Amino acid sequence: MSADNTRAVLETRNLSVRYGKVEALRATNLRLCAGQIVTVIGPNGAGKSSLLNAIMGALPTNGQAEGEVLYQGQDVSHHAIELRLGKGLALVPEKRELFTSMSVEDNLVLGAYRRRKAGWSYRDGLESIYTIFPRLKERRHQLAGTMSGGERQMVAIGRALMSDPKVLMLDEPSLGLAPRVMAEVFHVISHLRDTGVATLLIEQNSRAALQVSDYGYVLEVGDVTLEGPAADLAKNPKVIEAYLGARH
Amino acid sequence: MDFGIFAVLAQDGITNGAVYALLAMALVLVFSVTRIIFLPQGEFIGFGALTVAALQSGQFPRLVWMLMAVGVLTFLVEIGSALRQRRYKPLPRRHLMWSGIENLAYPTLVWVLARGLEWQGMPMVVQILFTLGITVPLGIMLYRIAFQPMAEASVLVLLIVAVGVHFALLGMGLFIFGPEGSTTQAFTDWSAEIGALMVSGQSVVVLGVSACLIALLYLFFDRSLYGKALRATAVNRKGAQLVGIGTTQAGRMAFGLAAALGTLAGTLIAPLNTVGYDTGFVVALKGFVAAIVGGLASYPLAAAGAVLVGLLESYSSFWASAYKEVIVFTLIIPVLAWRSLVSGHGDEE
Repeated sequence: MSADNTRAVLETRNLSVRYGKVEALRATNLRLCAGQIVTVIGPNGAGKSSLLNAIMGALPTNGQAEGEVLYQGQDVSHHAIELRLGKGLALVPEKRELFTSMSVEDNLVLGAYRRRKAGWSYRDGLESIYTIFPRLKERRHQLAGTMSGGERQMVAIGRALMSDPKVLMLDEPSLGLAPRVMAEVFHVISHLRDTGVATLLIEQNSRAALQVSDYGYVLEVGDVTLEGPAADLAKNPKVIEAYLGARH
Repeated sequence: MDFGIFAVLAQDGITNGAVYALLAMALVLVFSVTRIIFLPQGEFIGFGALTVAALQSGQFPRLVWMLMAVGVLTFLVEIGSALRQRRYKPLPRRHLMWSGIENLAYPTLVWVLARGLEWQGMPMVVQILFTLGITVPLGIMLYRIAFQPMAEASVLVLLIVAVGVHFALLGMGLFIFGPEGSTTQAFTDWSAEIGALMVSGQSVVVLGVSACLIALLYLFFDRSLYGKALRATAVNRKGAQLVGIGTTQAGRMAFGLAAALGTLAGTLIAPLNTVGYDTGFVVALKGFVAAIVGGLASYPLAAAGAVLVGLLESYSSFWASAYKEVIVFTLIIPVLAWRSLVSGHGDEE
């Protein structure tokens, strides 16, 4: 594992999340380096979504985060979403949260809402997204709400990529997808590594997640109970029993 | 009723309907972006018309005092919220500086312009633009003071706040404008006779301006990034936040646009009607009925509803003049019944 001697692009220190008196996440420490795919696996209600929302600053109003979120060494834990987005964090939420009554292309263009600089045109951004997801180019004028589940997930990932993130966080990207579509999405995720984007992946489908990842954490009821290189985790008897399902 | 009367009533109804359409659009816009039922919309009608009337009669537009007062209040609110957050982050100096420019320096500049220039006799377009320069910032300030701190509250709480803001503005309106109403100069004294129908230039201007504004709004929402951002906020707030469209920024834009539309509606009706500080409320309520026809969500349906309201009002004032308001507002009952049948259960949180 090279995370300890290379500089982390994203790091959480004692990050906790509570909703009123309910603690959803306890003092979590996590590291993510450039070009790395890190996965967090764990059962429902373990605090995985809270972790991502806390890193993005997108917790619901009754949620309160404590601890530090370091982005390239700088504490961003009190920044608004817009600022974190501008720095290079992007989140694809579990429910995708697309603009369903708008076209695919408008959804993507709005992904670059915070990325307006001189000399950059959203056309260039669109082209690079269409290279990753050629199907979105064919359907660019279709309303996002009329797309299939897999295509919606592509729009959601494409929209997040439009903001040119250094860290992409994916919350259950395979949820509700047919196996073939799921494989396609994971194929794309594994190729994001080549573009230098670091990916923090949260998955119910632990087997697929560990296959594409470099490093993994196991989160149970708010605590990290195990961590290690993804290949090691996939061989760990505890993980196999609890998350991968023993093969008889 | 012969065709002549029928046509006159239709012309009247469509002209008023065009004004209601502007108000209905503003209500749909504000509700879909912020979930606020924008009850204070009517005040902008009165304040706008009275300000144009004051400029035309050579009086000082007293709305400027209100802009300055509300500006100071807004600035204090900004400082207060910055101080409350100083536990977490350093004082946002840049933000406060911008807020100072927006809420203190700009109103002062408006005051200087209002005092320094000879507004009487200027082209009406310039007078209206200057009035917009007062009312639009006022709308944005209202959002900052009353609604931004509770942007995540429920629709009902926001409605109650809107009622409060409505009464506060009404009181301030009475205080600064007094109880008398005024009218403004006619846009044009041109008129034409088409067959039995006398087409007044006023109607043509109202229809033309409304149609242009609706077309501009359409282009704004369909083509511009800011317009798309507002639509996106209306469709999915969480999604909009995740791409960096702040709730605050969207709310400010919606309130600024709504204030502008209210003001323009006021200046459109002012040449034909005596407008007082409180006239706008009933007018805006008719816009509200139209917006309900569109389910507070659909712009084209809201515009169609506005024309329907205008025609209904016009014909009922011919047949049952005393009951015309009752008839117009009763329209809301079948509309609500129809909507609840068609749309089933809404997703009210």
